[in-house]
Amino acid sequence: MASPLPAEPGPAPRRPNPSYSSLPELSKPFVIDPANRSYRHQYSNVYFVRLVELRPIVEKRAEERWKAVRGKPPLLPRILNLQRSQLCYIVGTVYLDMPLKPNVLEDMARDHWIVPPAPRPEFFSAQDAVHLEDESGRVRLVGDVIKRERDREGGGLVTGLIMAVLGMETSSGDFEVVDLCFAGLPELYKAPGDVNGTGHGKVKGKGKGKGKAEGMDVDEAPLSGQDKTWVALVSGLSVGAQEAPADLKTQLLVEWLTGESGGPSRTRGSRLQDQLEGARVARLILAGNSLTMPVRGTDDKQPKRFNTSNKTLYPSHPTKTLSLVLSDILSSALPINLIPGPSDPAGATLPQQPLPSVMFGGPKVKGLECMTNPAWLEVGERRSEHVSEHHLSQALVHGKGETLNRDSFFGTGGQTIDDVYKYLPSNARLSMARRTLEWRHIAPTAPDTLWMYPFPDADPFILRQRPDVYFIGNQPEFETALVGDADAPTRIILLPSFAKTGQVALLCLETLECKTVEFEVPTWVGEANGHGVGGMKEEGDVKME
Amino acid sequence: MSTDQQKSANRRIKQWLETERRIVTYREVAREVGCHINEAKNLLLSYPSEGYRTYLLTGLLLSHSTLAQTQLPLERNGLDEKSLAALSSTQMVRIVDMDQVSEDERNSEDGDMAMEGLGEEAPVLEKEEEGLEGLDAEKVTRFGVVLVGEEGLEEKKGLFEQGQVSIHVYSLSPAPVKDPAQYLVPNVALRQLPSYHAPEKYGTITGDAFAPNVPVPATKPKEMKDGAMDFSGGKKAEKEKKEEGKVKEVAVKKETKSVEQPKKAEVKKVEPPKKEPAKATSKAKKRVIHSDDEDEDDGEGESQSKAGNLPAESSSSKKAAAIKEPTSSMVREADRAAMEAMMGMDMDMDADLDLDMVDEAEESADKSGSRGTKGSKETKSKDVEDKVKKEPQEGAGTSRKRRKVKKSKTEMDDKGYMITRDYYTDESYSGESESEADVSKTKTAKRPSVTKTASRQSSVSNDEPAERRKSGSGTPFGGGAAGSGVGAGKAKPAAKPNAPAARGQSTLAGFFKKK
Repeated sequence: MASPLPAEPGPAPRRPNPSYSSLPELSKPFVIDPANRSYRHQYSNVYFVRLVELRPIVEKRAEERWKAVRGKPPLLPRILNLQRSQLCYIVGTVYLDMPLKPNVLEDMARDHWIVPPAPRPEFFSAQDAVHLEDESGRVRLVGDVIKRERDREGGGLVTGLIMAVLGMETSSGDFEVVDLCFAGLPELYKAPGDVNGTGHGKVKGKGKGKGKAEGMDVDEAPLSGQDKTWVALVSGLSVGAQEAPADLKTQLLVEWLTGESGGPSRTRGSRLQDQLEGARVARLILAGNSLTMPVRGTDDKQPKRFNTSNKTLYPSHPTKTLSLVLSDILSSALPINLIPGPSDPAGATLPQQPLPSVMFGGPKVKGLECMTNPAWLEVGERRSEHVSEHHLSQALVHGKGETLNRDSFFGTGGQTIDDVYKYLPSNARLSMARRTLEWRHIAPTAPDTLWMYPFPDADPFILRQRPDVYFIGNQPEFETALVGDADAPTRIILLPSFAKTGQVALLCLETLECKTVEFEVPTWVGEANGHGVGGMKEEGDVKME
Repeated sequence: MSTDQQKSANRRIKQWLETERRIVTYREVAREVGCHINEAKNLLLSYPSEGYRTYLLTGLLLSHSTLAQTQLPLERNGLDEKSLAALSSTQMVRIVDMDQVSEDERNSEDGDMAMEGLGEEAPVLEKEEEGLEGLDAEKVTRFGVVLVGEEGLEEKKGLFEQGQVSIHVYSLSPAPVKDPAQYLVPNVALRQLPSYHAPEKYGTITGDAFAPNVPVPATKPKEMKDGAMDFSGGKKAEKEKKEEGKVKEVAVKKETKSVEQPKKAEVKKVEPPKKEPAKATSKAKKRVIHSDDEDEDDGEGESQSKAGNLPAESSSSKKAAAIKEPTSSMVREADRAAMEAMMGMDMDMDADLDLDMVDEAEESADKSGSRGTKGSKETKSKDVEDKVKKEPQEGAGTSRKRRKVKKSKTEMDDKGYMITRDYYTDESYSGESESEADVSKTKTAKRPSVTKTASRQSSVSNDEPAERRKSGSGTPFGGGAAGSGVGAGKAKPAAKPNAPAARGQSTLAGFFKKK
């Protein structure tokens, strides 16, 4: 049973205050200037830019990879120049011919008297054909290698990625693939002034990181739990979902983040463990779907004028509710980054533009930053010593114990991986996320099946640098893994919907370590039979004024 | 906490539970009683009651424990396999097995012979060491926060690692809680408390991420009836400040009236940029609608007073004002306008009212001096003209008549939206006889003028409705005074207590006139 808590009316716990930057040089491509927004451009430009930018990288890597192959296969600059039975390699954009993929021409031709079939969760089928194309032409890729690559767990090919293939043309005009090669993981992001070769050895001379008082005094000792600085990542708050349990979870989250809930953990002495854990969270990132889509048919109903129904009177205005939640969190000096997702009112095309901050109280609300959908940011300090302890890197060279590091974060609301998922047979979303890093393109399927703004002369989704943390919102379940070299890893985090699972990911800035906090609320009377919730509740005997 | 405090706290809890029959959460206790959040939890724990307790468990979860999930309505749609199978069993639909390999794929195997020579070379290719198998998800430490009623407490404890869980009372309620929304209800009320956020008092987390102003309870946006936020928050204060500013302005104008020389400066001021009147009016309009921000007003007032007193400086000060214009306050204004449109909130109704009155006061102060030249000056700057709509506004005695003209102007704002604004401006036109016009010209030449925004001019003449009506009755636009509200284009007869009420609608025909 519960026992009395030792009340320590001492000073309120204080959060660390690591430095923060929205990395304008990386975020800028995602911002579409509303004054010159134009939807008249052709999408072909996007593919063209993508090929032009990524081709040299892929060619270079392919050359290294295949230089040992006997016969020195040459690189053919144009796919049209293919010679039959000559071993060579070509670089181009993958196109998957998928019978199940929605086709706008079929839509147009469809007889509209018949209800269209429901959209499929995936396009993948065994009849898909892989093509490789460049400006000159297109060739079909065949062979076991390509089939295996397409089907294996953790592999997969999608339309729009740039790839090199080694092989030769067959008598039927197809290209038999022996091996293939992507652009590979890009370099880890380094701040412009960062001269050190290693990704994480950076002497920070700037007087940032004011909140390091407790954390940074301890020099060589490994960080204890109390000294770590965490960033909380939440996706899918789904405020306004009309599901009270979801709202209650959000409330519990707020209470946890503000250090109200929880108490001491018995084995760890009398310290107020939970409250201190919450106090080490230095930033909150809301990765998509903070608001929910209105449900047609229920949300547009006229509210009853008199409170005749038995539903409780809880404000049903999602934006206002969310802004209350945010203001509660902000009141505990926890800065928030708000990234829109598929269900947020931020447009359907990627990159989604920031939600207007005026929705949440306007620019006078300090600490809330509304961001674009793919978004870059950089938070805080990571101590190189700790990295070295883990990964044998030579970071200690910089000495002094004050070698602070900043972690770059890059994340999306989840549409990119969701769309890649449709192309692949597997469910391994973690590998899909890693694949997007290897392809150096976070959304290759845009603009084919993923809506995107028609950039006239750029493809902002090309990944030139790798973040320390790559998070993807609105995934079915929480997963995380480290990819890349041991001394320059990237942490991939898949975030599930908070409203559904109650999971929050916490990432340690110092060690890239990850953990979760999970919230559960009881199941309610009448909820056992799934959809019956609404019906049951309406007849229920709960009456609130 | 003294026993006294404890007693009074218990009394209050008792009242909530037994008299009001409602749920009491620890947050509420802390705020109402004004104690540390942990003391509040202890209070609830020690409260002797038969009521229903809800506990919050926090601690390390066992690696295999699973927490309940919430079904969201949106995830229920989608194509499930069962329905497809059912569809095919009806034989109405033929489902192609997409797992079959297509014909050409099979045929293409004949390309293999070319590859044979390569067979021994294949091993040379170093296999991609990474990525051949799926990426395994890491196991992570899981920390749980579980809310549970008293009946499920023991069971839920099993989710946590032994000895790693802490339990405290979340709430007391008179009866078992069946609806999760009940836990949320107290928070709605709590947010209205002035001392809702006080980290020092309740021992909640604070920090200095945005140190200079951690949201102070007083400035926190206040709640509306439905528990939501009132975005017009500090606006009232702004408005008040602004009114002060205006009073100042009025004073300044009185001064300029007495000084004879400002005319030259004025000429300069009105003439140069074509856009000027439009901007001015639009600003004025905004002010009427949204109760603009104070500093902008001050800037204007300042530049004006300078123009009045130091003609030489007028252009520079004007420039300053022009530079000042697209400041954050403008942006904020635009944002707010967008927001209001979005949320369909009409909270500025009352703001209009006060402002109108201020305007009138101001205008009556400077009307005698400023009216004359306006007409001729403004005609220079008209660029887009839509509808001519108003009756002459000149007082009796002159026949150089002025009428109010509604123009609209379309421009692209800095956010890329095409914005069409209606604004009113005065335009002179010659009356029936030329000579009279000449008279008025000479007259106007003498007058110093302070060109104010058009919305104000419109109300200049409010004080002489009788004359106006007389002179206006002969024009084709007679009776046009019809309820053209001040610049805003809204008819709001009730908003004006005195003269304008009459002006609101002088004839029945006027009511139906196009505006």
